[in-house]
Amino acid sequence: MSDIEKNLRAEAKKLLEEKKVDYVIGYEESNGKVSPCFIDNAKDVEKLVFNPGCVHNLSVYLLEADAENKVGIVAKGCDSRAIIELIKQNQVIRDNVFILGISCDGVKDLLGKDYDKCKNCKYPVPLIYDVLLGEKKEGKEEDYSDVEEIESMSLEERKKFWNKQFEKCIKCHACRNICPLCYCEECALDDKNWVSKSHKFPEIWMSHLIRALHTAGRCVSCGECERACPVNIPLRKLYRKIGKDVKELFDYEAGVNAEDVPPLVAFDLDKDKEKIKQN
Amino acid sequence: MNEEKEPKIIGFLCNWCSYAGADLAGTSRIQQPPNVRVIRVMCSSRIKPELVLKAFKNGADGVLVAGCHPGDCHYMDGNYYTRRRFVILKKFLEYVGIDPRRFRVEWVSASEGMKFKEVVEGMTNELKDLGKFELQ
Repeated sequence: MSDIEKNLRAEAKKLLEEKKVDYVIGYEESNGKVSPCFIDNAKDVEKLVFNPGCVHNLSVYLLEADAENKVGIVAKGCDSRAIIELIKQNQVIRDNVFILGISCDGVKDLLGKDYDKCKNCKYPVPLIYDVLLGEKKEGKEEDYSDVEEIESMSLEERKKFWNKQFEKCIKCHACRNICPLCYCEECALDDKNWVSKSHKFPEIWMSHLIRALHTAGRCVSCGECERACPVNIPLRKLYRKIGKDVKELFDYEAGVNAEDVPPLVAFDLDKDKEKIKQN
Repeated sequence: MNEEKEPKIIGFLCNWCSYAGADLAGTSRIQQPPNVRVIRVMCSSRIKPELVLKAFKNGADGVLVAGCHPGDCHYMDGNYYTRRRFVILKKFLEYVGIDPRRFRVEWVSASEGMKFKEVVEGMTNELKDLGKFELQ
């Protein structure tokens, strides 16, 4: 058992015994598979694990907590950005969450391969936490080469590429349901004025573009949508394009600083005038 | 006019500047292509990206969003948001393979009937070169 795991259990036990939180959201392992778990009894903390299989972004479960609940949550660097974003957007009250931050070495899929998000992880250490487990470490350089690769294609090629990807979609809405930042109670994707239930063109094109544009300035590229997608649409590449543009144009990065104002509900007169050339 | 070959442009015009500008072009009898179908909105910041996508989905060859010049918004700061929102949309449409010339954001004031004509003319000619818009 690693030190992180040992400390994690001790911290969780303390929290539950002192009744600082109602329950702790963490990871458990059964039959060699890691899955999210909810622990509300100090006796059960031995179930908690932390290993490279802990890929899930648990912050999505914060949305289901009641307003009066106090919740402890295990968060990696990427997950912590989603929590910051949720606090910023008034979906989560900071005082109601106790963040057990974990300095992360990267997570792996069932075949032992690194996830894309870990290959160029900029924030391995949580940006917000109440307790930090593990050593502080440096992140890697921002790398948008996956987006640039698609940008370097011709217009026709890009259209073909994305249409081929969208065609696979069976419209299960897993990408939306797993996304911690997709918290709208009434979703545009359920509104037949925007998109019908068909999974054929052009509806499918429409629903993917709507979702991408609704995550503008919010998406923290945690990659959960891509992991949840049953037909392997490279959704992260789609949403990261907007993240890249937002960074370049408005010098804003989602989920880094809770004080920042979201970029599309703000403006900066001088910089915008200089940087934004419409046509 | 040959309906099949003429490009269809959906124009979202803001009530206070661009719609009045288009109106001025009309009352001044300025000749311009009849390709724009105008939808009047109270402010250019009212237009969400879905509206633009829906226009394309339903067969528009181009979409024009026009509002007051930055700084002249009737609601003080509406078009500053428009400016940010649509620069993102434009780059994103390009990323998924839609020619950026099919989507335009222009600032047209109530006195710029001539500018409105130039915008419409320019866009229509460009779209004629590009041909029909096909999603697939």
